[in-house]
Amino acid sequence: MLEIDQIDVFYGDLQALWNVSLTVQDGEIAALVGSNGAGKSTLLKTICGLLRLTHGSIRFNGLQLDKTPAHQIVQLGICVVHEGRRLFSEMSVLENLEMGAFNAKARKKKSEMTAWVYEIFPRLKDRKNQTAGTLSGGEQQMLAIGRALMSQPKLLLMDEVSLGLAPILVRHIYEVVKEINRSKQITIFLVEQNVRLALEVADSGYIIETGSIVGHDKANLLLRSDHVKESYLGFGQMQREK
Amino acid sequence: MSFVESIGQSLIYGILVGTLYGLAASGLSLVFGVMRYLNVAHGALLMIGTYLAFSIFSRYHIDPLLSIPIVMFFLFLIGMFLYKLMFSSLAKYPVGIRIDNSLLISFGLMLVLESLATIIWSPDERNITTPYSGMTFSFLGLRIPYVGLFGVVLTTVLIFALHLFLNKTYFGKSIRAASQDWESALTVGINIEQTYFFSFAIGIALAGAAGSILSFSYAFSPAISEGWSIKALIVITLAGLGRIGGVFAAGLVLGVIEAVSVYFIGASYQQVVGLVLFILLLMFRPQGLFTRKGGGASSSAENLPSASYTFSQKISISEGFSFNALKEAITEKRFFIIGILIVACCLLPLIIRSDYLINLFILLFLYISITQSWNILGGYTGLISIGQSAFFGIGALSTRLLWMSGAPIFLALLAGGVSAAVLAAMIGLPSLRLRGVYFAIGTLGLAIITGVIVHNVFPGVSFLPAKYLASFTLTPRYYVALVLMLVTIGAAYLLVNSRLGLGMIAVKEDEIAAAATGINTFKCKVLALAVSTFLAGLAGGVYAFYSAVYYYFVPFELIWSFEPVLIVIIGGAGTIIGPILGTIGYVALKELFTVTIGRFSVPIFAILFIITVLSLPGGLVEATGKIRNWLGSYKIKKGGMQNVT
Repeated sequence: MLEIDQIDVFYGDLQALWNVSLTVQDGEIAALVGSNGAGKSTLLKTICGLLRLTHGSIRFNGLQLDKTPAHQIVQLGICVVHEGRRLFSEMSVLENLEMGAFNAKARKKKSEMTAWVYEIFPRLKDRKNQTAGTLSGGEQQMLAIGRALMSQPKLLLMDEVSLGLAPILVRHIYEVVKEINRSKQITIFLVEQNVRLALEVADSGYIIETGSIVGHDKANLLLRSDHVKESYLGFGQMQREK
Repeated sequence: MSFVESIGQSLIYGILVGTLYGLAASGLSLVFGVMRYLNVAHGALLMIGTYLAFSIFSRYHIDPLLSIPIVMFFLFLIGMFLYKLMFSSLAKYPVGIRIDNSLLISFGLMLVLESLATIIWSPDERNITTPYSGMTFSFLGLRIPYVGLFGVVLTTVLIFALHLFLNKTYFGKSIRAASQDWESALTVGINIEQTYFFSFAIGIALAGAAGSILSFSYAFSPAISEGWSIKALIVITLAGLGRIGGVFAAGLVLGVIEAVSVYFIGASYQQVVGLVLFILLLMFRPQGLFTRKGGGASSSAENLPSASYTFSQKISISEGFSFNALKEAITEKRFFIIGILIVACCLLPLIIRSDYLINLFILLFLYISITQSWNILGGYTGLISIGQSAFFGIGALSTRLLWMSGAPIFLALLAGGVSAAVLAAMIGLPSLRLRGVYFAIGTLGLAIITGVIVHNVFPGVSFLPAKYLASFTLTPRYYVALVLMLVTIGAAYLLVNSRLGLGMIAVKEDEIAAAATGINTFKCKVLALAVSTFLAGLAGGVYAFYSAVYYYFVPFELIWSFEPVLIVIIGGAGTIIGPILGTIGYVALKELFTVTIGRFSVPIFAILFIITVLSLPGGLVEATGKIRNWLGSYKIKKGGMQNVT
């Protein structure tokens, strides 16, 4: 579904991604994990057109994404949940959802989609006329996901959805992620610092370190691999102590 | 008329003008809110709208009430054109650069439009006389002019329409969305480029509407541009910068406060009210009048006061000027060259007998001084003052008045410098506590408003009394100007090479990082402001001393603000030598242009300026960095060669 082929991305003179290749299969949950500053968000921003690559290509169902203007990418069926929510904070919950269905195709099914989002997150319905900036962190995250779903994506990109939320909310959000994936066949590409959580939910996983992909496997295998255990889950030291 | 009636009448006039302020500011607020472009040419576009209505009226006899849609349409087209021509390329930069550069290019644009309008329509004041002009009706014993009533009704309708458009239509909502988070807007499929394009054009069309209404309500001339720009800027600051709502109410507040206070302080000082309001606002409610505190996650970082200089006071090694730096810098060879230049300048009046050339040199020295004074502030510290004329002017005014009243000239000059620094403190202390555009708006306001006041209070000319005139020669003025220039360059050099000077440069590069490394950023900014404005005031004083026939308002003209910015940016901001060379080139070129093309020289320089800012799009910082790198590599090359030999 999504094929990223040997891309290089720069911030000015600074290279952030080095020869990155990965594929996301139709219908799966794929996870890209790695530490702070590894290039995860850079990759997502490149996919949705906010950053431009200098080498390589990104294809979505055969269409070349890296030449498409950013505002048209959502029409192809890709939507992103930004890190830190990035809501339209002075607009109401309902208006935020409406903006999510901005493209012509989604606009037609706006009321249907709104009803569905309210079904997933009933809390949003209670607060539909409230200003988005005044919602709690968890509610804002729900709204950010809801807004992305309004565009009827085939592929949903999610950037650090667990960041800054209470553990119980994180679990709830991830339940929802699995549910969206299962019931609506929406492919999901997760980007996470919380390696264990992401790999537990995902089908396949990629590890990114300092701008390069260093590992790729089925998520459950990756979770048990020595590299992940040592680098991300803190088992390394325990093993050495044994 | 009783006291109550007078106040009531003032209130009425306040509401009438206040609604127009609201309408004028709503366009500016839309442009700033959505794109973070601070279009200080907004008032000039409003003035163009006024003259358009005037031309349609005088040529086709169409009532200005009816021509509003035509004017709005034309201004919409002008807005589209200007956006494509000048503003679209700024969209890809972060907010800080957008604000600074849009401010600079629109400042240039204002001068272009104003001077072209003066050429086309003459500087005379005009008005439109319609059948209903001057007719009033009585309401609760108060007189209300019909034109005012029409204005209020139209303004209200337009504001209401704008409100509906922004809140009820999909396109309007997408404009609001783009103003709140443009990256999110882009990823939900909003075409940001198109949104910016139309928002800008709509903003300009609103300026046109305000101009149309103004055309049949008040008298107008090309000079109204500046006043309306600053009113609109004050109104959007009252409403809370970056917020599209609340502007209309803020306009009403300004109008009513102004009108009522005119009753107490007189019309000459009417303009002061807006400025005082602005300063009070900066001190007590920088987030705007109608913004709930903490209401909404504020995405507009420039509204937040910087409270980051709490842990910065501790380090105190010897601060102030370091004379070692001077010793190091003046190596033998340089010392030789500088010495020769100074001696040459000293001997010049003995060799040259032409008064024309001496005058030109005095002018050159003056320009170098005022330019270098701006460079300390804008070039080194990154504080964009577009009100240097206020400091130059107040220095000139104080010096002239003291000198005329018999004080010794050197005391009068000193007083000029001090008065400029005091004036600067009034706007600087409140606005430098905040980050962002407040300083620029404040200084521009200061420049325009002091200009208007001086024009009202000292409308005439000051001739030299006979006893002064008898002893008036150019030579002492030449030497005073020369000393002024040397003092200014020396002060700038010593300051930027001192510890605090390094702090100033750090503030420009990254204010937060500077504060975090222990630099007292507020102190650095205030020091830069104090030195810069003192020098500008001194330069003003020398100008007052130099002019035999002295128009009080001339040193307050906005061109004195514009020229230093132009020269520093073209010459190289944040270097000592750049602005000096820039000034020499500029003064020569200006002299040439004044001789050959006369009144077109101002718009041509302004266009040149716009092109310069646009071709150095990374902002002042990048341009300076480029020049620094270039100079740096030159130095290394030179150093290396010296080691070899």
